[in-house]
Amino acid sequence: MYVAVKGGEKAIDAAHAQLRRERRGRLDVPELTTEQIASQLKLSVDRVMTEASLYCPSLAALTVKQAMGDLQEAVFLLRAYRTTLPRFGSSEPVDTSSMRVSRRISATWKDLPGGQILGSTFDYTHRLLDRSLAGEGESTLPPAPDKGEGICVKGLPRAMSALGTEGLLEAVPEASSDTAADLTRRPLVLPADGPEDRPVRLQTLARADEGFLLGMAYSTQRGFGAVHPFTGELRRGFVELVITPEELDFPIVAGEIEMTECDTVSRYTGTAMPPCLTRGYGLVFGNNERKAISMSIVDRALRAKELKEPETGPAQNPEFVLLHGDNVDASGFVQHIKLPHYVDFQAELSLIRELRAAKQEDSPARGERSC
Amino acid sequence: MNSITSNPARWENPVRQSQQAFRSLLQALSRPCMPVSMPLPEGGAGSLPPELAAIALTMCDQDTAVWLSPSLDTEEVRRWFRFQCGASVTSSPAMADFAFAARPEDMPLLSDLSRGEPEYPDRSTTLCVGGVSFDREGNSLSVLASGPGISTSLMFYCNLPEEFLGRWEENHQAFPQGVDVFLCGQSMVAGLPRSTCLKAQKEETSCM
Amino acid sequence: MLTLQQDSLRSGEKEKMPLEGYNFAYLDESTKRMIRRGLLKAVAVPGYQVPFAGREMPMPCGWGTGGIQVTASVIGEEDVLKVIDQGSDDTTNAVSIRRFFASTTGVKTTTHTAEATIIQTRHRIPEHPLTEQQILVYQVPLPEPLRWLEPSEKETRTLHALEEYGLMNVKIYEDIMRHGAIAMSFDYPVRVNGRYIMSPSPIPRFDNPKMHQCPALQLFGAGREKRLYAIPPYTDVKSLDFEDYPFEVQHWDEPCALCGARHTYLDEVVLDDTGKRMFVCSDSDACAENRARQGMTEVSHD
Repeated sequence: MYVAVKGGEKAIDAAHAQLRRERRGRLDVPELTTEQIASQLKLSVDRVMTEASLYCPSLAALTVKQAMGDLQEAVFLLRAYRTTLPRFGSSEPVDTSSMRVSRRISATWKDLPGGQILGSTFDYTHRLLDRSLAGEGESTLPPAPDKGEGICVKGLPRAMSALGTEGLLEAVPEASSDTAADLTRRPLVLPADGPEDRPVRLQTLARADEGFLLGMAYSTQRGFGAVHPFTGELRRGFVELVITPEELDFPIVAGEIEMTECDTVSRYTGTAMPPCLTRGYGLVFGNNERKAISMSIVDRALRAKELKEPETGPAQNPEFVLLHGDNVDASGFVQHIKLPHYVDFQAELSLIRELRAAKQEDSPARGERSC
Repeated sequence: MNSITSNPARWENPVRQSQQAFRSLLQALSRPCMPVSMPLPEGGAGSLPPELAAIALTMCDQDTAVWLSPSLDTEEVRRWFRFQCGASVTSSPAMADFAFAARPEDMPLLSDLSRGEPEYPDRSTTLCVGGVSFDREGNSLSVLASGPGISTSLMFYCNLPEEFLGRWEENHQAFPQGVDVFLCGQSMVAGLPRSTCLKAQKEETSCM
Repeated sequence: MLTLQQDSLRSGEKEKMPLEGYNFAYLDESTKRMIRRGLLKAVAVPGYQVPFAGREMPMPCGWGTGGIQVTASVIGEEDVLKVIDQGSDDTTNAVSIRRFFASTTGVKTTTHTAEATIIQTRHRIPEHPLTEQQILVYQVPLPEPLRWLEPSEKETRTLHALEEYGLMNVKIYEDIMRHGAIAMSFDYPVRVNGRYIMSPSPIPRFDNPKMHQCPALQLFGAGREKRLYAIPPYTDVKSLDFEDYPFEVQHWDEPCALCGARHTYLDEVVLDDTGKRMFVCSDSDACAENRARQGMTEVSHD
């Protein structure tokens, strides 16, 4: 005989226990430490910090471990923690012009003041398996540079300043106010397509899923909304975080954070302005050039309305981009269909049965009704 | 000034008491014109009545702009808002998320406050009035209230000036835009959301 | 996008902290204030969707984070909480949410509708009539009733502002033309207080009439979409229809196979793969009460 199903509590406990066991993996393999993750899986950690909007490598490493390497799950863990943190104030805007730069390239100039600094990059590696990393054979490390921090250059001029005052490149748009709206404290207000909405758009893009942003950026390059970007400058390095506590009234350096910044330039495709170059901007935590470049392309695409360009691609539609790029939102909603829906399913079943019955009554060709 | 510096009005237990005060406000607005009791903070906030201090401690912070009626607009009260709530004081009633008036006589014109926008009627000012009495006897206003939150209708008594009714009618007619009001006094709060319809009523007339 | 990282310090507060390191009901006080401000607006403008800065919660969006944030902003130590999903207290997500509040607030929880002061629900309204002392919190996946007809939020907001609901009438008319009936079985739109068209959340249309003039306060939270809305007690809630095609609730030919109830919402339970099935109450508490009243023994698995 059927009885009302009970046992949800026990099932959940059992599922959690099983998850813990699987997370640990084989017991004869040493357990990962969060230090190992933070230092050897740094790019994972950087991505998690960016999409979670929280700079803290040690906690991000913890979330990567806890999520068994599922980075979207890790982002979610870190965001849920961030939500509970009290706020002590806002920092001054970070000054990326005085970044301690470890890598800086410009694709628009052969050479430029300060020079091209290739730094570390996958770009020119041949993607051949390095079996020494699998413990097959001795892994040898290249010698360290002379001075520990000697690879960083401070006070590099910005590449796009080289265009000078010729007016070829649009000026950096004036900020409408000193304080940027905080997306995590005020809801996004649509249409969000004006120049004054750019800070909140950038904030949304910085938090957006890297894969989504990459696809959006790619779509504009293939013709769904015309952005033909050049990398004006891509720089990565360390910036000082400065806060001015209200009770002290003078600035204090709280520490340094690593960031990747991208300035793209692209030709203006509308008719409202004389021919010129326009800007797109990307800025993310840690080392993540794919995200920074995608962000700057999509930022530029989203300025279509402001610049009176034809809006032809999804990447130019702020509502479409801003509402669908958050992987915590998207992943939750897409997967929520795993939850029981049998009440609604039952409602659908009975409706479809009713509609079919009504159709059958109406149509004489169907012959006599069954009872 | 000293009373505030030494013993400013605040919750002894902020988490618990602001939750209780919020539930009083939620109930008051859900069941309009039915005064409910609310917890009050210890200490002083200058000329700010304790019921209004309770609302401020519960609802206001750095994300809210506050307008003060002239009798409340003192350095003492401003300081209290700044330090106990973190709220900024604005001189423009239309910019305020919350407007505070110490007594019914000090109420700003409802039309001077923000009613929100057609797409965003929530961007409106909430007016909080102190010094209100809800006694049946000797009060200037007796009205029949109806609308969401009220089963059929009910009688409501308070010491608001008579001209309030005409102003309220105009506010109510603007629905869904409009100002919501909390009437406070005697350790109680009564809610008057924009959805409530008020009709002047002689006491003798029975209401249902 | 920057937050200074520091463990939560809460100055000198000697609170009962059921879950170490977290505030009562998980949310910090400024988040609660923000949600509470939104809830007051929602109550003042019945059926209107108030935007709020929804937070990440420790469970996924789409799994009840809107309802959870509402409950967390409303709940106090004296409350008694009931959580249901599909009408049942024992579905996994209901268990998970109930546990979350038990551990972050320490409040008493119950499975009995009549004992609860706050009921958080997904997809059902309890069969037991609600009272003035109760608050019903709905988890809402898609708060915009016009969304399937108009995908843009910018447009639907304008339509609500202008009270321009022709689209919805057209949709209902087309249903009738095509199917001879209004083909909406759940999340059936309602008009609140004669003004806003509102999504009742994906409850079966069987439950819609329970919203009308309900003595309890009804609060709705959509976490991912970041919207709050409300129906105050004793408010008119009308399911949309046409005069000649009036709104109707679902009904079943047979009673609940467990308790014999004839006027409850029934789940269809498949018994084998040849189509044999039975129907049982979706509201597990109402069903158990019914059985107890008839002297039937409570059966449960271990």
